[in-house]
Amino acid sequence: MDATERVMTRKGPAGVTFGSIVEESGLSKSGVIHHFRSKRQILEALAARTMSGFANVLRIGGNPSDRGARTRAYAECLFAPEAAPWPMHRIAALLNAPDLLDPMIEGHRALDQLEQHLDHEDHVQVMLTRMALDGLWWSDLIDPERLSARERGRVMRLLVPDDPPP
Amino acid sequence: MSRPRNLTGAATRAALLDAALTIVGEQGLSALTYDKLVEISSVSRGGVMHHFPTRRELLVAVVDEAAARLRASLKMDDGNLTPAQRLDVYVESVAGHPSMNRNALTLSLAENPELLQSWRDMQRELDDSMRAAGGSVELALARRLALDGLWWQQVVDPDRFSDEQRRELLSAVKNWVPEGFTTQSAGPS
Repeated sequence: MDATERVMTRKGPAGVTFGSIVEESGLSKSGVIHHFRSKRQILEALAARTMSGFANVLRIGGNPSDRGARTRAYAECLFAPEAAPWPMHRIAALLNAPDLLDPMIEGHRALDQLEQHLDHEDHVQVMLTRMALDGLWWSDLIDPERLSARERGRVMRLLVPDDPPP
Repeated sequence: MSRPRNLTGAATRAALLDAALTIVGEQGLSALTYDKLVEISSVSRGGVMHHFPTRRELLVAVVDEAAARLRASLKMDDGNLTPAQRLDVYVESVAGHPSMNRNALTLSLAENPELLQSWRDMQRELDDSMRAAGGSVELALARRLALDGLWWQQVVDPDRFSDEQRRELLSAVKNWVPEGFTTQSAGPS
């Protein structure tokens, strides 16, 4: 799986072929096949690994007063160091098998369910904040050098106020 | 719709790019095949191959065209827009038909991340104009990022929000002040 991530980072998701994974991993083809029968299975495993962080967000529950905690957990799940290859998975999934996105889509929807008891104003606030975090994730993905660390930190604190300063 | 029979080279190319963007915007990048392009554009296969001998060349041209159209829809070259007007056109661009051009750019990422350079340049140019405009850069950034997030949602899960919810969020973002703003603006800027 790590080899797959390295291939994705270097060649882009379209460059991920079974052969390139075998080559990168340094394992024999039969060794790779022993664990994963197809590229599809490897991508599925990556998607599952990535989605595991989302469970923490949902675990907080739907108490309206916990919306800040949910947003913080959402941000942590998006920007956690172990989620670093996550963007590439999403894109790869889009290209190779859109149904791999289903767990993420279900996660978002489950989270939306938790927020539906908020009053109107809070609801708009929460949704725009989450959208902006997604936007920041997208920005990191396509242009990691776009914002200085200081500027990025300020935006982050704006969106997730209780985030301690670095 | 009747199609002119004798298009000039440039007009054929433009019509092909138009057709290609429609395909990518509606069905994704993987749907962009020569067969499909011939079908949608009514240009002969030979004609298509003449303009875009390889899929790679086709893709590069589509991405460039998408970037140019996005630039135009964002009125990037109009230096007289106020920050509020700039945000308005950004909202329009995410809300409206031109978001198709964004989709084409995104999907190019799946094919080859290098193709996104024009998008990066555009984003940085907008950031610079925002910084030059004064006011809270992070507030302006947060609003634009929220719009980017909304648009991204549209790509991965178009049914997550109802049309009404989407319209509401798009309109609320124009005056949106994130919760962290008061505490932060109280500090030194």
